[in-house]
Amino acid sequence: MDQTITSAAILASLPKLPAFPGIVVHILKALDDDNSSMTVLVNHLQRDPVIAGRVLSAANRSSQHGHRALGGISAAVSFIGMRRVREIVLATSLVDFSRQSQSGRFYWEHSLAVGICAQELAREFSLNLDYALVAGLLHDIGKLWMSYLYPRQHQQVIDLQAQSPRPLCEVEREMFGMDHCQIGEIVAESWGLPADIIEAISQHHKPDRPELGQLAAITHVAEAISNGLDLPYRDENQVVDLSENAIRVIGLDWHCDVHDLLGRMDARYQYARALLQ
Amino acid sequence: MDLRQRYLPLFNLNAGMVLAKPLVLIERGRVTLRLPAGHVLTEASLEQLAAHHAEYACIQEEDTRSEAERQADWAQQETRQARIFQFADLDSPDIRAFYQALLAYRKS
Repeated sequence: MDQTITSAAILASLPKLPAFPGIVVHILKALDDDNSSMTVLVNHLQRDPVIAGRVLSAANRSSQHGHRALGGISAAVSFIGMRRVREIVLATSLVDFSRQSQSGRFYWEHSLAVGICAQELAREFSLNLDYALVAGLLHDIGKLWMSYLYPRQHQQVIDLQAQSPRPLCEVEREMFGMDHCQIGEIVAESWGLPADIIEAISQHHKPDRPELGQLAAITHVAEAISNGLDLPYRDENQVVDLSENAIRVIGLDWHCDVHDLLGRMDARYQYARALLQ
Repeated sequence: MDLRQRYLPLFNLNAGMVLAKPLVLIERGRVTLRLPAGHVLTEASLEQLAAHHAEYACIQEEDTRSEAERQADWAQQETRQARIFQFADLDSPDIRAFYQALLAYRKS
């Protein structure tokens, strides 16, 4: 083993990462109150011109068939809707965070795909859409930590797995003493994310526990679907495991018509990726 | 004439395309736009879709591929999917069902 990582070392290393976008936590805490969400969003966006600019850019792109150019956040909210602005803020701030963390293009595209697939599963089974989006966007945050702070060792993990296919977490534990799920759990806890999202990050590769939560189950299944659909395309995409327990927790039945579900995931991913480029 | 269905993001929709499924947009629990299956998209309806925050639509179009081209496309999809699932246990009923659902979508 090259590195022995401890929880204390992970916590001590966090200031080296780019600042986590606090607006994500604020939005998730204010989800149940539309007025509060609006106030939180407007206040944060007024203080964060970078994210505000990204929201306006995305809003203008999504209104390309319209005749108006949206000039302010209030106009964006009234034109594209509170829900969409909230999704754009969550996605753009987390994608920007991963870009600042020098993760590769595949990392953020894969995270976005898992987020969209998780969101569509949540819609299908009437679960919280924003939690599902954020869980998908952050499910591999432990990998981002590894690649940012220990790029050489992280690349070795990738090379070792490519040479002889083994469970990724097993190879990571040999290299770091922890896998990306364990590291992600510590990082997400330190950011004050909701417990369900922390569980999704820590358990998406351990989906057979009887007490598995719905969000963790959705994240596990969403990752399998995104890889199966080649979202995004990468020659190495693999589906190795799909937990029967996770399928049961969600209530998904592959024998029912899932064509529309898969189509929504596919088209919405293409749409979101174009908005965020 | 053979028809095929495709799910396309808003950016790739064009006037003249035909909706394969009803398109219903809902915001805050209220239906804000409803277009029936068979609706032919126009510039005006594309503006409506954007104004009501649509992200995608399912359209139907003529499948102009020859039978040989269609078989070749399907074979390519099967090969690709078999590669993605090369280390999966296809004897597991859930993985097998997932595999078949994905393949049916890829072939559509």
